[in-house]
Amino acid sequence: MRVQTDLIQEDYKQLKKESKEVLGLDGFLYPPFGATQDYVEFHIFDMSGNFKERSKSENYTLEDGKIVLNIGQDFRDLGYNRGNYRVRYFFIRPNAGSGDEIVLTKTVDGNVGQIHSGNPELTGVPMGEFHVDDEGNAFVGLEPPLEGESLSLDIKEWKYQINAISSDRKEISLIPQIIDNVKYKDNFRNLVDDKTLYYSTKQDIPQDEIAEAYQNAIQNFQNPQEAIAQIIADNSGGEVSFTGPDSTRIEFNSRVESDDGFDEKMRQGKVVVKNAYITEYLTQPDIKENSSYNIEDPIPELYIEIVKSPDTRVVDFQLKTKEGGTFNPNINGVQFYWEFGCGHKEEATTNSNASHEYDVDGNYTPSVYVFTPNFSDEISELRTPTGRVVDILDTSLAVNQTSDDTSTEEIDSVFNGKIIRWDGSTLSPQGIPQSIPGQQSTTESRWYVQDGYRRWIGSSYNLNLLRNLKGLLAEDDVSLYSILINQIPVGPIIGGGTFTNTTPPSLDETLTADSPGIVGTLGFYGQDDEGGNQGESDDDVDDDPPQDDNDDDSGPFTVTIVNSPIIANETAGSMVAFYGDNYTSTTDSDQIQKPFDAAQIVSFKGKAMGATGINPFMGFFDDPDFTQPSFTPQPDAEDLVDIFLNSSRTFFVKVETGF
Amino acid sequence: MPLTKEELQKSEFYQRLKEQDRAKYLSELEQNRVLNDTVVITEDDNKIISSDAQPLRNEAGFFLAVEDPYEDNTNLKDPDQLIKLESKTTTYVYDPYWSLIIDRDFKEL
Repeated sequence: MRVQTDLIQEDYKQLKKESKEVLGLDGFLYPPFGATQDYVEFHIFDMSGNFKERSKSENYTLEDGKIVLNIGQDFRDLGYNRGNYRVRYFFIRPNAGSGDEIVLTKTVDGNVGQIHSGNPELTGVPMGEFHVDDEGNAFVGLEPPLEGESLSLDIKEWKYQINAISSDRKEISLIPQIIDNVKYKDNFRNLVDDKTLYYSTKQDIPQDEIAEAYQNAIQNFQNPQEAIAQIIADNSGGEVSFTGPDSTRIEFNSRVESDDGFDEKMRQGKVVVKNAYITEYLTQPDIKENSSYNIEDPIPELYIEIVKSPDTRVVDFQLKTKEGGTFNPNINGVQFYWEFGCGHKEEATTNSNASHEYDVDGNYTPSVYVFTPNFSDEISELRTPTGRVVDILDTSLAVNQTSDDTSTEEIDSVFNGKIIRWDGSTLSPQGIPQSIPGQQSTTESRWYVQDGYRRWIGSSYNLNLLRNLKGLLAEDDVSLYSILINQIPVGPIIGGGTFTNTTPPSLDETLTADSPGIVGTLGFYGQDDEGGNQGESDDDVDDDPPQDDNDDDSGPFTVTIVNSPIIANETAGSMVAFYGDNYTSTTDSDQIQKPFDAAQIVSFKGKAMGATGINPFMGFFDDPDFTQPSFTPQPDAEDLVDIFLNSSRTFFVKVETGF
Repeated sequence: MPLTKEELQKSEFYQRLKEQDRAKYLSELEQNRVLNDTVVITEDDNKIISSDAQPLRNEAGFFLAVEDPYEDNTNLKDPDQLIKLESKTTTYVYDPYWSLIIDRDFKEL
């Protein structure tokens, strides 16, 4: 006997297993043939292959793993007692529907296809009473309906309809009939569903509870099967866990003994644990933080540097900071609107410089408006390249003068390479010279003359360092009276950064009027409000040295730096040190002090205790409540700050807690 | 003169003719069984059908279904009248080979 297959020979060879097996020992075909719903059907053909009849066999038995057919009896049961025939047997397990079952349906409240009567095992609905008349019409109730009553029922087979058949008759489309029944629909849906749901039973469900739910559902015209299913679901399911860290074996944490667990039909299937690797959900915004974003700083104090071209009325303008650096953000967010004071303007530009040729000689007050995304300012302060503040721009000078302001040549001075000092004389018409603008000199003040510019040496430490580097002895310092000192233009301060070239210009660099930090000549201290730029050399001043010995040098003083206190949720500890000293932390001492003999630049630094980046270093303050910052802007942690001091002063360090 | 069924059953001639046919029928059956090696002779010379007898077939190989000569419309239940099928059958590999080899997509529907 040949087993019939629809596979083509090539596919059959590839897919066929080597050995024969009993179908349905496990897996989705479980159980093997012979289950209650299984049956044998045979088709009878004549010897020419013409189909004659088909029927279910009632004469087969299952013995010792074999299916025993009594073909002769099958034929005789259908009345075939003589002749030659062909026969084909089919071993069938229904998946959905039934060829022998019918149901009676009715319309309830406009809902058609409601089951009135049928096999409860199939429908899950108890059978209703019905009557069938002589013509085969079915009605609700045991008696024929009265005249005018509409109690008719539809008789429907418990089947699914073939909706369409492909032209090659290999594919069909099935649709359900209008039978509003959960089991009927589920069976249809399960035709293509390869999943089996299993709920472990956590606890036994009392039968009286099920019975009560069933009765309640009937009384409330609800589907009792759904009510029972809900009770089962409420008492089912539970946690599963793997039996070990690397185990693929899972077990149910709670399951009653009456729950048999997985059955043979589920063998060789897959257990899908949904969301097994999901521990939490995070909302990820579809925007990214701009890590380079900084809160915009306000516009710094600026001035306009004017450079006049000789013999022309052309003037170049450059916006600079008070520190002498060029202010040129060069981004679209910052725009400049130049007005040259003569009525001419320049369209808004991102350039912080401009050039304009005036039509006629005259005095002008040029200005520039600076616009940033959040700030705006009008800048009208004018300065020459040497730093001298001028109130107006006189263009006639541009034509006639050969300004030394525009010189880029170094100044030839006999004092170049020497250290000079003030002789201390304030005999009229002299006064106290200024070390730097606004800062009075003392006889202890020292300047190093570099390319004709006097550079104030801000601390005794730096003075000694300079002496050592340049081989300049103290007895070789050149003593000058005030007027001569004032005639030497002021250059940039010599600080610690001068030696390391972190704050240029260095000592070996050629200084010109364009060099950063060039201030120019200064007047006597206290001669003007600003303390500078009004004491430029006076032609009437006698160059003879004065004879007065007055000395306005300041006396000794002490600088105190108070460490940041450790206050929970407010401030954290700090570490502070004077230049050249080791750090002292809050836990070591609440403050450090250092005496100084005379006015000078004092250098110190601070930082937060502990790991970098945890507690932010906020800087130095003049008061313990941290309301008055000592520096604007505040230095970063570990950055050395230089400040000129001539009297005792206390700085309070603040470190905010990072938690 | 035609006879009713009851009269026919009472007819000696008919009964003798019927017995002759039955004897002939059984003889032919026995010959076929001998040819098919399904008959076993016991020690007391009784002839029985082997329990593992193969289905009875004619020379052309067609299965012969034999009616019980003593009961109409009833087939014999001897072992050579039964077709025994092994439950083991050819089986096939499934995923992933199944879908790789066979085109299972719907074409028209």
